Parts: sequence; C-alpha cells; structure tokens
Amino acid sequence: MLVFTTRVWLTFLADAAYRAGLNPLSKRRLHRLVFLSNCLAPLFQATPNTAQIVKYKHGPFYPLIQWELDRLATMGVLAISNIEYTHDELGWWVSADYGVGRTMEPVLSHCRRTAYGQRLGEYLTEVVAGFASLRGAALDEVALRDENYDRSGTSDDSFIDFSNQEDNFSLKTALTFRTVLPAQLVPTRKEELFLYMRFLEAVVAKKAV
Amino acid sequence: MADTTIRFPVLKRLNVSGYQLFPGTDGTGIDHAFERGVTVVVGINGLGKTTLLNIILRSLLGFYTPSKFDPYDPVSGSHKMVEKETDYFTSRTTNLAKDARVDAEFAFGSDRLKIMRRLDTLDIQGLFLNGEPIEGEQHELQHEIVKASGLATLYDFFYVVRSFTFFLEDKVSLIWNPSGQFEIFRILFFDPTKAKEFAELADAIKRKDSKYRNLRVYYNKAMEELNKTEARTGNTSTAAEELRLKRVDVNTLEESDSAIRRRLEKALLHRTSLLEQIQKMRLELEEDRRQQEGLLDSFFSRAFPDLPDVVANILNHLDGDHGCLVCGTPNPKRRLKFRELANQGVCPFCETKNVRTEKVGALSARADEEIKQLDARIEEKRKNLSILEDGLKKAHEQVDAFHAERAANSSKLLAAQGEAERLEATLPPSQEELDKKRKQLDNEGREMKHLRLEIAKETKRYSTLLAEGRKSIEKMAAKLTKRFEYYAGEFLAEKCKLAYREEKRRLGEEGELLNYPNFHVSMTSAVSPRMGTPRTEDTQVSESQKEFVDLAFRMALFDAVRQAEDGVMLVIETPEASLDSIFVRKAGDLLRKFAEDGAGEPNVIIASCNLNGTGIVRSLLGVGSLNKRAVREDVPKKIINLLELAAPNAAVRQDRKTYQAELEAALKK
Repeated sequence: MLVFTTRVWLTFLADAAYRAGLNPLSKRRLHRLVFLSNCLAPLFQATPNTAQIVKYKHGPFYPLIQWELDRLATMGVLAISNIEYTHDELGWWVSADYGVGRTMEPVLSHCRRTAYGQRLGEYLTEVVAGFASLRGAALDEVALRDENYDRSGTSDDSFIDFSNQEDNFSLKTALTFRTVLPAQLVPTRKEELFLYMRFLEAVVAKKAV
Repeated sequence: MADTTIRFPVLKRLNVSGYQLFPGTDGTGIDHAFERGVTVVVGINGLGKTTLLNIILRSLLGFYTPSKFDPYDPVSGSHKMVEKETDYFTSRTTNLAKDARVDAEFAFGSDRLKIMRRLDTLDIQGLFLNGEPIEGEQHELQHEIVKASGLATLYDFFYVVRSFTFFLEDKVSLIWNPSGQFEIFRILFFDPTKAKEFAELADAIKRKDSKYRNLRVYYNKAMEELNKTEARTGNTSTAAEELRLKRVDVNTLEESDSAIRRRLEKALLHRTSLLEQIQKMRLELEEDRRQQEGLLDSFFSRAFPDLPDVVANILNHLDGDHGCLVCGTPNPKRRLKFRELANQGVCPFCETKNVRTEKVGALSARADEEIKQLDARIEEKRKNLSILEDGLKKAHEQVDAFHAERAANSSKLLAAQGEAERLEATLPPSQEELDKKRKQLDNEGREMKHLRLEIAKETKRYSTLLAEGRKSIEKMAAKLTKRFEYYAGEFLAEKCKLAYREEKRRLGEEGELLNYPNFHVSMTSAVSPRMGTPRTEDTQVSESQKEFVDLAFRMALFDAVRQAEDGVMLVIETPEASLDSIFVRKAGDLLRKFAEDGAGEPNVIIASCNLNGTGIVRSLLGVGSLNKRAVREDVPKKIINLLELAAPNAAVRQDRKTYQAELEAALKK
C-alpha cells in the first residue's frame, strides 16, 4: 500500500512541477521537494509519505523513492532523460531528469476520483507553487536549510525523525507566523506554507552573504 | 412636613452652544431667558424638542442615574446612584458633540445657581452660586446642586426632577402610580434625614429578604440531602467492601497500564532504531550499486548509445544488480546472465555476438576484481537489509500489539474507575464529613435566623419612620386635596376629588405587609353625577383626563410643599398628544393659570409642542386673551422656535414656509 501511496505522491509532485514551469525535475531537486512536502504535510492534515530521513552528503535522498521513480519512468508515467554517471570526491552519483510521461494523465485522472487523491493533489500543488515562487538560485538550497534538516546538533549520517508533530520543527516554524502577525491577520494554511518557503529563502540568502 | 425647606429648580436662562443640532439663527446656538408663565418649545418631529428638554434635565442631573430604576415602580428599585456614560447627546451629531456645552441658570428659592456642562461627557465645567464660583471634584459639584434643593440625597433630587418636575414623553404618572406617589411623599414630606434613612432601610431590607430567600432554598435542599444521607449510614459494610475490592482492581489496572506503557516505549525505541539502521543500510547499498554501475562503465548505455533512456535505465539496473524495473523484482535471477552477456559483448535481446564497438572495451582485471568484491558486499548488505526489514516488520507488529493491549487495559481501567466512583457515591460520607456538613448547615441556619432578626428589627424601624411620615402626609392632606380640586375643576366638567386611603404593600417578596399612605381620584360621571366613584387606575378615565388629572395632582403637590415666596417649574413634553380639540383650550388655561399664579418668584412652565394644527401653541400662550401689543412684544419672548434655531431637517427644508405660516397663524391676534 505504501508503495502505491509513494507513487501517487511522486506523480502528483511531477505534475505540479510541470504546471509550475519546473519541468523536468532533476533527481536532486525531486528528492528535496519530496522531503519538504513530507515536512509540511501536517499543515494540510496530510500524512507524510515518510517522516524519517538520514542526513546525507548529497542532501535529502531516499533510495526507496529513487527506485519508485525509476519504476514510474519504466511504466511511462514519468519520462526519464539525461541519465549520467559521474564520479567525484563524494563518490559515484547518477544524475537524471524526470518529467511528465505519456501515461501520467490517465493515472492522475484516476487518482483524482478519490478523496485522498484530491486532497493530496491540492496539497502538493501548493507546496510546488510555493517552491517555484522562490528565486532560482535558492531552489536547490532551501531543503538544506529546512528547520528539520538543518536542526542543531545534526551532521551527515544523523537520523532525523519528525513523525511526532512535537519534533517537526518545520511545521512548528510555519505555525509560528500567526503569532507574530497583527491580531486581525490570521493566515490561511496556504499562506503559512508560502511564508515558510520565504523564510527558508531568506535563510539561504543570509547564509550566502 | 419636612424640617428642611425644599426648593425646586426653576430655569431662568438657558444657553446651548457649539451643538450641531442647535446652531441658532447666527451660529451661536440657543440663548433664552425664561419669564414667568408658559414658554413653548415649538417644532416639528425630528427637530430636537425632546433633546432640548433632555439638555435641561441633564444640566441638573449630569451623568448620574440610579443603579436600578423603574419609573413605574421606583420602590422596587435601588436608591444607589451610579455614574453612567451616555452617548445620548454625542450620537445625534457628526462631531461627537465636541465643544458643545450648556450653561443653565436655575433659581432654587431666592438662590441662583449657574451650571455649565460639556454636552459630550456631561462634566460640570463651572458652577456658580449667586455669582460665586464653587470649586471641587465632579461629585462634589453635583452635591452642591443637590444641596441647593434642600433634598437629602442625589437619588431624591433625581426623583424629584425626573419624575415630578419633568413630565416627559413616557408620561409616567404619580397619581395613578401608588409606588411613585409614595416615593415622592417620602421625599417631600418626611424629615430629610429620616427620608434618607427610610430609603436606605428599604434597600437593606429588600437585599436581606432576597439573600434570606436564596439561602433558605439552598439550606432546605442541603438539609434534606443530609438527613437522607444520615438515614443511609446504617447498612454500608457490603458496599464498602465492594468499593475496597474495586479500588484494588483500579490499582492493578493502573500498574498494568504503566507496565504496558513502558514496554510500548521500549518497542517504539527499538522500531526507530531499526528504521535508522535500515535507512542507512539502504543508502550504503545505493552507493555500492552506483559504484558497481560506474565500474561496469554502464556497458549497455555505451554499447547501444541510441537506446531510449528508459531502456538504458532498465538494462543498467539489471546489469548493476539494482533489480528489474519492469516487474519490480529486487534481485532478478537473470542478472548474472546479463552481466555475462555484457562482458562478452553480446546483445541482451537477440544474443548476437561481437556487438562490441571501439567505444566498449573489456573490463580491466582491476575493475573486474573490484566488481567481484562489490558483488559480495552488496549481497551481504542485501541479506542484512532483509534481516533488518524482517525485524522492522516484527517491531511494527509488536508496537501494534502493545497499542492494542494498552487500549484494552485502558478500557478496563476506565470501567473500573467509573464503577469505583459509582460505589463511592452510594456510600455515605464519613462521620467526620457528616459532622462538618451539619456544622456548616447549622452556621447557615444561624445566619438565616440572624437575617430574619435583622429584617424584623429594620422593618420595625421602617414602620416607625413610616408612621411618622404618615402623620406629615395626613397633616398636608387637606391642603393637597383642596388645591387639587381647584386645578381639576379648571380642566374637568366632572367633579374630581382626591381621597386618602392606605395601600397595603409588602417590602420585598416576603416582608411584612405595611400600610402606605396613598391618594386616589374620586370622580363623578354620567351614571353617578353626584357621588364620585373611585378611579384607582388610569384605565378608568379617558386619555385626556388621565394626563391632566396627573398634572393637577402635581400642581397641587407643588402648592402643598413650596414656600409661598418660591417659584416652581414644570416641564411637559407635547401636552397636546392625548388631547382632543375641546380640551386643548382648557389645558392651555390650566397651565397658564398655574404658571402665572403667585406673587413671589415666578413659576415657569416649559412645554414642547408640535406644529400640528391642534391650536395648543396658541392656547398655551393665551394669545386669544392678549392685546395686540402683548402678542407682538411679549409672546415672542415665550417661544423657543426650533424652526429657526435647530439645524433644519428634510421636512423643514422642504416645507419651511408652510410650518412658519402655521406658527404665524397660531400667534395671530
């Protein structure tokens, strides 16, 4: 069941990226988007695809997700291109781009007929819209500055578990904006998501100085 | 009669400035000197007649009002006065009555009191007694106004002004309202100190009566429960034992819950640890596979560069030991076969040999060796991962089982706790608790008794004061009834008299039944032309009679109380409202007669009237009986013409000439 949920998640994400003008998505960016969407899922009462990750030298990366991405590409739901094997001081890395495949539309139509698919589609569209609104230079950096990923005391290989909402620092930060806004301004969850993305963008900019 | 002389306020001059509603003819507002007799405030609906009368009223009372007041039954309220903010004057403007003020000069007997207030807050800005300024805080200045009247309290001053001197739109009667009638008798005829004590006693008795009744409801209920509980104390050993056993159950279940929780926490930690190991293992495996693919030099991609990316990806995954992307098998059987085909340069689809090109060479021996080592490592990790994944599956099952066990235990615990509570409720309290409750009720019983005694003592004092007051009222009854007959005779064709009697009323809900002095009207009629019949309620007379019988009563009361040399004032809102045309002339005659009476300080009657063709303006001013010179020179001094002085509303803007013509016709000799 989890496999199918993951595939639906990835398909909606790739579709949203296509609609937001981010097509195709590099493998690196796709994994980072998956991570951000997992962190902020409770904001929209969605269950994260997975709420655990190992802090990795290449940034957020999920081996199981990678397998499912390649499976979806084989099925034609996603389109894979620009596969390239590279080797550097961090070891071997395979880069590839993922876009909209020929069978994506019927799959999405099917998914949207379910309440879960509809809700998930709406949420992932908002996440990608927020992500796509950031400056181009910040796009691949924001996940690295995320409050869960960059939490104090962690380093490469640290295991990050945000399955309890109390430990989900990204969510807690996103929910903090309402406390600093004027009393008459109560942000919607979409605004909270956008504010959090802007916040990460600002952190990236500050680190770059 | 009161020992201290009561002086009623009589308006001598009124100046309203800076108020948008009354800009006046030249923007300076309203400035009017009141002369002996009737002054008419003329206007039409919406021009501010009521507002102007309220300005006069509030110039005397400021922002003070009783904390609880029912004009129709003042005895049921409280005599405590409170400051109450009001937007009455500000809400009628667009500038919140900024800079609006009223300067009003009143005669209290021979004294002159000038009161200057802001209209927005009603704060006193200046107070002058006979031209001398008086300084002080707002409440002190207000007290000075009360002092000028000779009345004992601010409440009494309020009541005299609001319900006796002013006869406003609500037309709250005194003669048809026994409670209001007695309240004015208390204020006017009791000794001022005793009037104050009498009012305070009434408030205190009512308060205690209410407290006593509330306490009694609680006491009786609590006593009944206590008696029932004590009656049950005989046979409790079985229930007590049952409760003891149930508490043991609760303790056992609480311990179980604690143990399960500890096991659950441990299982969760174990599961998280496994998750961490698995995730790290997967990453390592991923890295090894990538390295392997790199070392294999992605044979198929290079050998068949024109293959679509998706096909190359499938082949590379097979070649690199990643699994079959087509069917999803993680460890396909033919992967070694594919590796071999790749090494030999054979097409994996049709098995054609020697497809090697210059781009694809055989693997170096070193690379081959590394690949073999990687193969072994990957295989080892794959096995370990499989073990860890099995462990995780069990850990998930264990966590689920502990959750289920805890839920079942919690449900039993809740049931046991509920049962223990139920048993506890059936058991009577301990003797110690019963004694405590009994003691508490005894104290409350004593408090009730004490309250009854206090009420009785205060009621006795109240009755004494009432008896004294009754004597004062009886003393002036002859004068009152005589003056009433005089005024009523001016207005009514029927013979109308005042009759004294006592009215029985309780003080509070359950207080003693006491006799209060009261006057009612006795009047002849078509069916009883000689002997008057009592008219105790206002429904027993016509609308016209009702209002003017009350006015006659007020006038008589003024005459009974005032000093011969003092003037009095009556403020009446739209007296024509309930009159038919025949009575309009009589009403005018009666009011003028009263206003022009007396040789001392002049009486003043202020009446607001609508220009509605009833002839009331003409009647009140007595135009019919004046000569031309008097009409030309004196009458205008007795008119406050809001058609000219008030900000014109739509009706005035549209029909000013018509209204003005009507006023001129009313004043035409």
